[in-house]
Amino acid sequence: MLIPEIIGVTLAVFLLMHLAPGDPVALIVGDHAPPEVYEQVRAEFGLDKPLVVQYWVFLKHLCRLDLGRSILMNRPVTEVVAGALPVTLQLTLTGLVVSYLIGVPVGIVSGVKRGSLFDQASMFGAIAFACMPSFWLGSLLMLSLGVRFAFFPVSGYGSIRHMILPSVSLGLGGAALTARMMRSSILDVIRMDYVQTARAKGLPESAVVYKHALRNALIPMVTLLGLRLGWLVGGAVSLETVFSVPGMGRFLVNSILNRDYPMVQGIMLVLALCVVIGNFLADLLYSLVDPRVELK
Amino acid sequence: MRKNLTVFVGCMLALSLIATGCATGGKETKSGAPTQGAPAPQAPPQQEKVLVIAQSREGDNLDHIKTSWTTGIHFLVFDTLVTTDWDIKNKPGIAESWKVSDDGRIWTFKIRKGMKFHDGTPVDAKAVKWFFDAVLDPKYSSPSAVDYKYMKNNRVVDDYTFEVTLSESFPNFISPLTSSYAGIISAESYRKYGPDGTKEYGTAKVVGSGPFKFAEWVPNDRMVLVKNPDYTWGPDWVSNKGPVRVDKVVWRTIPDSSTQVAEMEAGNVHVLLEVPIESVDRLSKNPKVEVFKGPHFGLGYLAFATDKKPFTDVRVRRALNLALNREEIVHGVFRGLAFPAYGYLPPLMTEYVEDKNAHRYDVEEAKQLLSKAGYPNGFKATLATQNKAEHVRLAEVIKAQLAKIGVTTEIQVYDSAGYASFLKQGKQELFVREYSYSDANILQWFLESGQFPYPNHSRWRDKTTDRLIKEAESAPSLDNRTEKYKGLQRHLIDQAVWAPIWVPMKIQAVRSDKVKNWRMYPQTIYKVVLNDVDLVP
Repeated sequence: MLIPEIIGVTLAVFLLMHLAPGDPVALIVGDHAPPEVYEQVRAEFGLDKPLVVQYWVFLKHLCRLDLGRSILMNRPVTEVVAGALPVTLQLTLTGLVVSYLIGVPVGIVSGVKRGSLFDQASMFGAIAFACMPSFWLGSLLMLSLGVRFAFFPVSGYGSIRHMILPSVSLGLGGAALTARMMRSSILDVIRMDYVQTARAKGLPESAVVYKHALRNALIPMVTLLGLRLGWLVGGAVSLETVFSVPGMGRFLVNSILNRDYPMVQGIMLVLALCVVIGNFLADLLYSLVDPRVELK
Repeated sequence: MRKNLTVFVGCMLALSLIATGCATGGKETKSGAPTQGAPAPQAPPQQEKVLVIAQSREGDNLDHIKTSWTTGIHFLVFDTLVTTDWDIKNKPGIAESWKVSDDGRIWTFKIRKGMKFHDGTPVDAKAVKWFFDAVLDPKYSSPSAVDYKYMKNNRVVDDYTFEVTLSESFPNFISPLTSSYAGIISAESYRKYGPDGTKEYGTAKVVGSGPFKFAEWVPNDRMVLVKNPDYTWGPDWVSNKGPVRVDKVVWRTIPDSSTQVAEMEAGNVHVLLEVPIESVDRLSKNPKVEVFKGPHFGLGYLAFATDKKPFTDVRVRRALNLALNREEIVHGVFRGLAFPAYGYLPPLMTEYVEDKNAHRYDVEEAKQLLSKAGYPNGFKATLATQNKAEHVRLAEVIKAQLAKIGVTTEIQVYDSAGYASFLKQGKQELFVREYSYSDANILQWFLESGQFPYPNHSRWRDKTTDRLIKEAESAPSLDNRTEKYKGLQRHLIDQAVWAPIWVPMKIQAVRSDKVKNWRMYPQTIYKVVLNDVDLVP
């Protein structure tokens, strides 16, 4: 399935980009260049050829793992992606970890202590954080913890400290959704007969929850993990702009605005691959969490 | 179960650590460009004076032979044959003097001795000739070749004398020699790393002879320049002719303007080259920040597709001019941080002509003109603009003001690439434009018939305009050229080809507790002069 998915993504991106009005060559040569210079630069990048030919050339190069050359930056796309991908992965995965490290325990306690003050407060907080756009939360954290108290760098990239504010901004919204999902999952499981049986055997409540209920309650969270990856990549795009993090999102937005076709195609292809691989890894995790699932 | 839970959480942490490891273990790439792993510029190391400048976007490529996009970095890394001083007057640069033949066709430049490029090769007549020949060489398809279209023959007279023969007299020939596109590049480096070599020139290698050397470029993060210790040829109009006083300049790319302001308040950025107008008050109140404001070589205007009805009628174009309340726009849209425009050029230019009467606010007169043109109830039109926040706000105000004379507009918003394509295809009716340029020949670019349909986006084809432009461009002297351009502007105002609206203000913010001797250069937004600038340790 991977190859049809990849071809589908590249084709859709290729068509959408070329159907959108705009011309990267006009931006390179500016207002003043004569038409012959414009045509010459178009030919240099193969943009004078029919779309079918351009797409075929892209696929041929792709078979050699060559994503082409950025029209505006005059750099190989693979070089740009190689520099930016680890940055986005770092932001996305630390955001994911933040969302699960906060969301899962809060959801468990809220589910077990249903109706308690903690449950009400945490679910109120979850709704509040779920409603906040990550870029807005990021701006607030930047102004308070970065500028006002100087606990963390305001923006930029380079050390673990630089990633804390963007990761927390990205992860808190996810933590809110994770907590709500975990809570309802625990509530579903905790009413089941086998959990009642465990209680009837006289097991302590902690053993009932952690040894019996949690095993099944975690399965939906693994499903969510795969789906969440795509969502987090989307959030990373806006946060990379807010925190000046030189990741894939920044390059993608710039390239779309400038109609840098090879860059957009290359970045979208790599992002799609990341999401596919992320979902595959989530499938692998099923077998770790639920022994009934066997990998073949 | 506990084991499985531990495995699950462990996997999550491992993924994060793997990603962190990937991201922070960066080494030099094949091309020499550093990967993203190096630490971001924050507090400068001890003893080293590091000036940090924020910019909202970086150039895509620093090879100014191949691209039309240049940045302030070009003025720091390269020297030009001729420079412009604080009053935009031509002064010696690489050329210590120059003379023009009586017929205005032969220009002879005496090259300053003792200069060398950052790669150690000499800056001489041969190097200068190579650069202009390269720009004009069709194989490089240089967008700036059009600036030197009158160059007929370039000749090396001797090691330090360079001669240019023009195809016809062109007194303004000197102006493009001062621009960021005219920075002389080392021929040896361009041959080695340029389009005929490793193709690294403009991204990993940039070699000029200016006060700073190009050091590194981490795309979308920062560009770093280091002091050129051999620099002893500073122009006459700066105090320090020798090596600059700061050791390093870091140009940080921070796309979000509010993040730029936050970084300045936190002290991590010393200079903001473009202060968002909504942050001017806030920064002005900060005792550690000095805000510089001044007029700018730019103009914003409402343009019309003059070959489409009803804009073919001069009465309609005049009516639209009278319907715009420029004072209200300047205060409402630009919060007073701009000037009302009454001409087609920025007021800083010697060729500037203004006519406040033709650009007055008079709704009744505008309605009468529309009636005489056959539109007593107004008409409908599209109003296009680029998606810059100020331009979109402006379009909304224009829509409201034109509604008072019965003109109903539908606003269309485009991103930069989409807008360029839209105008090129000639789909526009009413549209907002802004230019930033310091030469009167901008009127030739935008309004001469030969430039139709683009960049003559106003689609203005007029024999009188063409004649006046031709006379101005081939005038025997600069004074005569100035007079001709003044005549051209009076004609354009009479024909109401555009509706000039605002002259932008250049606003910069500087950490005055750290940066000394800062002076705002009036020309382009990104041009900075750092020869005299110093940093407090």
